[in-house]
Parts: sequence; structure tokens; C-alpha cells
Amino acid sequence: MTGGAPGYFIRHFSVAALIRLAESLRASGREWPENATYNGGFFDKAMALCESMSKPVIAAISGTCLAGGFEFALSCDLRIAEDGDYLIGLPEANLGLLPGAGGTQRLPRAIGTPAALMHILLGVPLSPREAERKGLVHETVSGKALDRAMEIAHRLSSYTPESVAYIKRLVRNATETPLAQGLALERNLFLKLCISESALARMRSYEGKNITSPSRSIVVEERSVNHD
Amino acid sequence: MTESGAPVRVIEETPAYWRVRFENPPFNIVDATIFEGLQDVIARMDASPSLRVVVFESANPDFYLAHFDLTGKTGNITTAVGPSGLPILMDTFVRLTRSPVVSIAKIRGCVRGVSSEFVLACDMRFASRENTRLGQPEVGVGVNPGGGGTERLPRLVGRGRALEIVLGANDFDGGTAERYGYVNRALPDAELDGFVDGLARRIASFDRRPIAAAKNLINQVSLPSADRLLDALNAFQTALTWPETQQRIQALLKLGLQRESDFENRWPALLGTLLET
Repeated sequence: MTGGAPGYFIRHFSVAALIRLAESLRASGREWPENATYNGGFFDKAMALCESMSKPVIAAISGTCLAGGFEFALSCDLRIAEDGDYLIGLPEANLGLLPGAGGTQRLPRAIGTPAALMHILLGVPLSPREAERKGLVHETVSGKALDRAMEIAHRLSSYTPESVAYIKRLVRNATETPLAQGLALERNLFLKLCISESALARMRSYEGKNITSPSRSIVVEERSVNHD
Repeated sequence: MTESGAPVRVIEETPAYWRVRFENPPFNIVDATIFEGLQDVIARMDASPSLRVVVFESANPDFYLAHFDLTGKTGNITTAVGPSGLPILMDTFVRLTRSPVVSIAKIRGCVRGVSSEFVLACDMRFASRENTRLGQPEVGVGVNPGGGGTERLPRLVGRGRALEIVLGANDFDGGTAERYGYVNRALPDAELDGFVDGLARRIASFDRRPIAAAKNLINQVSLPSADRLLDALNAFQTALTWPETQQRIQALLKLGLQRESDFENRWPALLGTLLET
């Protein structure tokens, strides 16, 4: 996932549109008790899809990535930013709001509660390099984010789809699953991979290079018996 | 091949110095068996704590290693993964560059395409002045070099000469290869064996740890990344599926590639007029 407009990944939700929405909601007289259920709109569903799909999703952050834009990036598995004069983060508090599309829930899971509190409470967005230091993105590169993202994608696509999918699922669910249950699932998926054709072929190819199995593809002459 | 049918012979001159000889008649075509042999040699190198230097040479003075097999005998070398996590083709070259053991290519005869990429993955190259035909003819066959030539050549010879070698797709003789930096030195054929043997024995007399430390430091500032190498191999695989590439490959096979000694010797010179006949 990357930005199509130069200088922007996803800028942020339109504040003008948000004002219009607030005014019409006020006129309707609706209220939102804290225990009201919420099923998510299209944006929430897109983010849930990024998290649940079996393929890893990489955000190549090519420019401004604020509020809803960064919340979307938070739903991706890997965030690669490029160096530049733009900002990344969650500035909603400045407007008397809060990150409303997963920011308060996904950022603590990404960088820990204390760091997430600092970032969201202050609402000061960060330069790409600072975002890398604080863990908001995995890497900030000096070239194009998309080039590095493609490099990672190439690497991932050389692995088996099963191992990649299981790793994503296990790691994604690690903090939400009781340890014993997570360990059991990990062992079962490990053994399932272990007996798969694709893993067996890779393991055999690795082991086949072991010196302990004499091969007919080389012959060895020793001339050194009488040397030193 | 050798009497035992193996395409690669390891001659252990001393515990510190081996010669590895390619013997895959008739032309030393690079197929899966050559890579299998190289993988076994590298595994043996990794397991030999007294080894310092390996010289790679050919039993056939006309063909050091000819080129990548185009008749379907390359097995799984671009798909199966080796110990470094890279496809066997790339794994072989990368492990050679990373090995603490010094690799020297002693070149006589034709060394084209993947074979050129093999000698580029060796630490040093010494070539016969009278008898060397070294090149990357891939573009004239419809593909890009896929085994690291495009990554290693620019660092050795510079951008302009790398582009000339790769886009010109023709042979380079020993003298020109030396002037460009494609090989370390070209020597009169009669002096080549003595020179390389002398250098190998001299290095073999040194301690293993400083050799490994020095090579490792030079590696850090001069080796291409695995990701770059993978890009080249992926692009090569894609190019092999293009119909115009298949047309060129079929034309070459029809004219005698991998069958006739004379054609096998001189084919890159004909690439500029390949589809005109």
C-alpha cells in the first residue's frame, strides 16, 4: 500500500467533512452511550481485512501520514517510511478529538502503552526519522519507501505462502491469546508445516549439501599425504 | 567426465591448497550436475579448517565452463533453496564470496554468461592471454544476465565498461579483459599455471584468521546485497518466458549450440545477425 499523490501517503480525514458530519449528527439528536455496539464502517472493515488476510501487508509511507492515514498504516503488518519533510502520527488531541479509527487500540499494541500515551496525549506528529526511533514505523529509508517495500515483498514471496501465513497469524494473535493456547497452536502449525511437501523439499535441499553424505558429483584426489 | 562420472574433481594439493577441476564433456556446459558438484565442493570447503585457497580450473583448454544449459538440464537450481536461503544458483556464488577460503579462477577457453558470473564470484581471476573468450552474451540471447554479472561487473570495471560488456554481448580476449579489470591479470599461456600455483601456495602459507578477517572486511565494502542478486535472477526467469527470447534460443540451438564444437566456440560473434538467416 502506498500513496499515489507525490508527498502524501494518506494525508488525514477531511476536517471540513468532519464538521459537516458533526453538524448533521447534532441536528439528529442521536447520542452514543459508552456500551453501544459498533460493527465498523468500510474503513474499519478494510483495516480488519489487512490484519486478518493471510498475506502480509506492507505500508510504503511515501509522504504525509496523519490521523486516519496513520491509523490505516497501523493496520498493515510492516510500515516502511522514506526520509523527507513530512509528518507521521496521531494529532487528533489538538482538535479536541481522539484517534477514532483504531489509533488508541493499535498503537499501544505496536509500541507499548507508555509510548502510545505520550504520543496520542500530546498529539505532536513526528518526522519520518523520529517515527522510526519511536517505533511508529519499522524502518525509515533514505531512498524510496516503495523500493524497500518491494525488496521486502520479493523476499517474502520467495518463502512458502503457508509459513508466511502461519507466522502472521501466530504473531498477530500472540498478545490476545492465553500463553498455553498460543503455544499449542504454534506447535500444531509447526508440525503441519514440517510434514508439508514444500518445507520437506527445502529442508532436504539444505541437508543435501551436508558433507556427511558422500556425493557422486565430485571426486577427491589427495596429493597431500606426504606433505607436511 | 571423470572415470567416476563426476563433473567436478577436487585435487587436494596440500591441506591448505586445493585445485578444483571442471570435467563435464564435451563443452563443460553449466547444468545441474555442475552446480551439484560446486555445492559439494563448498560444503567440503566449509568443513575443512586447514584450507586457505582453492583454484578453480578446467580439464578442457577450450572451454573453462561454456554457458548455462539451454536444453532443460538445469534441474531445480533456480527454484530450490540452498543453505544461505537463496536459490541454489545464487547460493553457490554467494557462499563462495562469503567463504573464509580464498577462491581463484584460472581461466583458459570460453567463459560465457553464468560461467563469467561464476568467475566474477571468485575472489580473483587470472586468464590466458592467448586463449580466453570471456563475456556476458545474455542480452543477445534475449535475456539479462541473472547470476550476478550486472551486480558485480560495475564495481570491477565501472558503469560504462559494464554496459559495454553486457549490452555488446560479445567475447573479450584476455588482454582486453585485463585492461578493463574484468580479470586481475592476463598472462602468457605458458606462464599461467606457474603464476597461479605460486600465488596460491604463497597465500596458503599464511595464517587462516588474518586471511579470513581481511577478506571479510573487503567483502563488507564490495559485495552486492542478496536482494539485488535476487532481483537479477527473477528478471532472468521472467525474460526466459518471453516469446522473442525463445525464438533466439531455438535459433541458436538449431545452428549448433551445445552440439557443434566450432559453433560453440564462436557463437557470440554471430548474435548481431542471429535472426537474419
